[in-house]
Amino acid sequence: MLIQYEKGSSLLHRYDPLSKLVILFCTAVIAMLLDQAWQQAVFLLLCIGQARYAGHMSGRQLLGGIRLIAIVAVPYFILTSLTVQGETVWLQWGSVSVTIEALNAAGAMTLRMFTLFLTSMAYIITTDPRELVAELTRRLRVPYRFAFGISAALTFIPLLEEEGNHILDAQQVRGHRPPKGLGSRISYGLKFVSAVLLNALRRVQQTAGAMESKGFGAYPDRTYRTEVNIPSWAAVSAVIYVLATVWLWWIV
Amino acid sequence: MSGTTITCRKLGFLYDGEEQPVIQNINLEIARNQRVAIIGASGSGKSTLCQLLCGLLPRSGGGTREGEVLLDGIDPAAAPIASIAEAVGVLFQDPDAQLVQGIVEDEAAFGPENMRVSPAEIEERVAQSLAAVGLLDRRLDPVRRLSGGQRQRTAIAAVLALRPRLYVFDDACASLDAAAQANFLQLCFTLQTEGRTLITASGRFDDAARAAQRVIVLDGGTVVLDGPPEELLRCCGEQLAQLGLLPRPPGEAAGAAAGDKPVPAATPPHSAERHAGKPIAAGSVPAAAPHAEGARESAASPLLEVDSLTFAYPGGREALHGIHAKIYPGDWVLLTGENGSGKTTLSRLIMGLLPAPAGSIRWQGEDIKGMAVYRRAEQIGYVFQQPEYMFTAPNVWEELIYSLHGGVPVKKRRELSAAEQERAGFLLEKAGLTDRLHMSPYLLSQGEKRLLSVISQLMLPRALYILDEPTSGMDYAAIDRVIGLCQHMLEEGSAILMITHDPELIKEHATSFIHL
Amino acid sequence: MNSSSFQKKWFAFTTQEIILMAMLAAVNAVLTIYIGPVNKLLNSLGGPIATSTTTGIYMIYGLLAYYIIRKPGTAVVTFAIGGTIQALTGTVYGIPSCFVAAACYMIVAETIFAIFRYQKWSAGVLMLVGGAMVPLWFLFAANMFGYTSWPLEVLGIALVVRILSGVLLCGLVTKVLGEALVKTGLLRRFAASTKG
Ligand SMILES: Nc1ncnc2c1ncn2[C@@H]1O[C@H](COP(=O)(O)OP(=O)(O)OP(=O)(O)O)[C@@H](O)[C@H]1O
Ligand SMILES: Nc1ncnc2c1ncn2[C@@H]1O[C@H](COP(=O)(O)OP(=O)(O)OP(=O)(O)O)[C@@H](O)[C@H]1O
Ligand SMILES: [Mg+2]
Ligand SMILES: [Mg+2]
Repeated sequence: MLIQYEKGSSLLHRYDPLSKLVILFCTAVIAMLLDQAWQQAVFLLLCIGQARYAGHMSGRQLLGGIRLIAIVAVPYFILTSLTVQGETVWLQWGSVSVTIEALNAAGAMTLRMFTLFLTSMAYIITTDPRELVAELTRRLRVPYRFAFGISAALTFIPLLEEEGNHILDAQQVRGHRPPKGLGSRISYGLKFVSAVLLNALRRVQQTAGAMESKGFGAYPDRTYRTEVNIPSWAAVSAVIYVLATVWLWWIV
Repeated sequence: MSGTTITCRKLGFLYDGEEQPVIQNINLEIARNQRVAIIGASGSGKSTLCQLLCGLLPRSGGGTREGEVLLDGIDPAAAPIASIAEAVGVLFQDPDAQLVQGIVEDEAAFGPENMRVSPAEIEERVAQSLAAVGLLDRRLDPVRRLSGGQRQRTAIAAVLALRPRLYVFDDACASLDAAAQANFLQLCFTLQTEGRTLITASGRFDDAARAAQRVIVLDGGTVVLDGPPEELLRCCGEQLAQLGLLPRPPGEAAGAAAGDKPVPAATPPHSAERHAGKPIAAGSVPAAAPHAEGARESAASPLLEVDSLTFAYPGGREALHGIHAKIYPGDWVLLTGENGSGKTTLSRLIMGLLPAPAGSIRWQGEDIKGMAVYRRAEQIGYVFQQPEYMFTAPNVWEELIYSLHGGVPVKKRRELSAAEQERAGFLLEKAGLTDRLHMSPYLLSQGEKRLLSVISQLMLPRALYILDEPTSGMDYAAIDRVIGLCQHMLEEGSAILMITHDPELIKEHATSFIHL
Repeated sequence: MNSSSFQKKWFAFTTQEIILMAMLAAVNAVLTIYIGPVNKLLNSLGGPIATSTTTGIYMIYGLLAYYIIRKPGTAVVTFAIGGTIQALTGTVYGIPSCFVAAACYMIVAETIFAIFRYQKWSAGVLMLVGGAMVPLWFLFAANMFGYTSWPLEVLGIALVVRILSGVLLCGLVTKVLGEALVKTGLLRRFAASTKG
């Protein structure tokens, strides 16, 4: 699964990456604090509403996300609801019993996974990674050579996929048949992975050399072609959200 | 703006793990604002010298340097990055290896951003350098969606935007179309009038060399000639031709191509109609026209037919529209066209690396649509535009014989038959790679890589060979090698579809043309 | 500058080293995408416990980077890059978990390699680190996702499976892979080749 930034002008798009990240983390903390299934459900609905209306995410996107996470979350739900101990038996089926307490714990856990995943998805879709990297160096004073590692890795991902395609192409052009059977599939897969890895490492030296020859690392800082202007309301709302989280922590 | 002066004293260089130095005893003094062309045959050390000048070697590439290199008195291998990047900007030979950002305009902005140029000026530099290479309308495209020539242009733009005092262009024109090459010459002229020093490296005594103030000829890692172009042409034409930097007089070419062994029956079957082929615009008359007479037994049944083929990349623009073409056994077809006109795309469609619409490509009369790539590979040999894409084996010999065993480990392989041994030896000799058997394909020079990628496809006889720009950036001697190899395959009865930006060098051998 | 004192300095990385870390993080991200279906299969066969077996695979990139570069701070930078990349390309466990996991791995790896003074790179040490990186993150994960409500046996089994996965699939694989890569000669410019 590869979720990617999509250009847009929604409210979430206009937030600066760091304030938004703070809000995202607070949301995670709140999701951890709530331990009743119904509370989680309400919170999840709030988050979905926000993604839908503040982030302009389409119903299709949201449903797609929910389907994705459901595959992971459902087994968790089953394991938890069957193993957690409780008093009030809700369902008895032979020696297997499901209690209300277990259902509550399982429901809270799975709904929490939905919340964490969907808010993260909203973050990714509305945040330009290049802006995040620029903000890391400007505001958090991360040296740009390190922050650049993030943009470099993001650039490498499609490159690696493309390189993988070239390797497949080259092998097919040389008459490789697609592998049949589990054994040959696994050995083929391993060969493929190692070819991609070797190509990746071969690129390291070239890329680093080319970057330095274009002045990378010449100075402790650098400029950026695009300037981000951060709305002050973004930072203010992030602070308010942090305070609210702390308050919630205090009362539960 | 003033240029950079260059001083090399007793410069020598040895790559890690090699025994023979690649550069030996080079002494040079290049004045500021001079325009210099370095030329030399494939493997003569041009790229190595360029990388020494900017300090990439040995700084991040390793190896042992001897003697001195000084740019305005500073040593590029030891000086701080900032002062090097101000003094020199290099275009490396392989565009893929130097594009690091992924998006065209970001590539151009990368250098100035590192040099702390103000955002407004970066914008101006990006726009100007992209305009200079004709890529303004592609500025938001991902680099991996560009054609080979467009990538090279992006790489040029990225160096231009850096605006250093000295430019080093290693084979900048290799994959450019004719118009872009002329454009590049003009660009060099402008840069020089701005007062910058300029060095271009290439494998031929080309227009860039003719327009330079000084030409330095490398052979085997040392300077063999040095002087103004007119003078070199006047005094040393013979020697330059010997080195493969000037075309040989027509009569000699065939003999040279054969190397030591003369090719038996050197006259191709089509000699009678050699010059009959006229460029045919895509979508007009089928390319088979020149075959009316002289074509052999198979005149009636084409090997490959392309019929109103239209193709668009997913989510992208239309790359090909209404293409018609026919290729007959024994044909040598030249496929030409501007950068981005869809030559590579067409060849990939034929090979099955991209999905062609049903009914648009027929192989020996049958729709090729459902045929798997490995089945097509039994009939068609394919050489990629970027030779690195091909390489699958750890050394030259293994690379050459890869198709014979298809990746089976050494222990489980059968012995090569005598005929296979002989063919391998023959191809290696024709390509001039006999003494490189144990070297990694990635460490060869660009021209050597290309030759290797060609002969590794020629190992098995095929009905059709598709070669995507096998001669780009090569010296004339190496081109003769390619031509010799192709002629040999034609004699075996194969057909050849060759994509090229140098049609004038090959057209006398071709039987028909497709222009996109 | 004296090269050994230079080596001991934190975060004294060359561009090549940073790009290597970025490259390994990218390889990890791509693999994560491709392993996705396998993980789904495991999940439907054996639920959370079965998916625990692959835990180690997701940590290889950081340990491998440390094995190749051998400078203090390698884990911090590599896992920071890798965690951010995961966060930006989508992960089923949510963005915060990427960062918290990365932070846990950093702390453990840096501490142990510092204890060995960046001198020991045997299979044993790597397996120790691989196993030790697991429990701290497990502690956080249990609290974040609420595994704490599971009975002790289930928790115990999950933890043991993950540690084993860390020791074998991360520690041991790193050593094997690292040595194989050094043999290819592609790492000539890195400590793993020059220091053997
Ligand atoms: N990294 C390397 N390690 C070992 N040998 C190398 C390496 N790179 C190049 N060589 C060898 O050095 C020689 C000169 O290579 P170089 O790339 O400088 O040639 P060139 O003049 O640029 O040729 P071309 O016109 O084909 O690009 C070649 O024989 C090549 O095989
Ligand atoms: N993977 C891709 N995705 C989308 N568009 C692409 C892709 N590859 C190429 N194109 C586009 O298709 C067009 C044709 O590209 P192609 O590579 O076939 O050109 P070409 O004729 O081989 O050019 P060159 O002489 O520069 O090699 C170009 O405009 C290019 O930008
Ligand atoms: Mg070269
Ligand atoms: Mg092309």
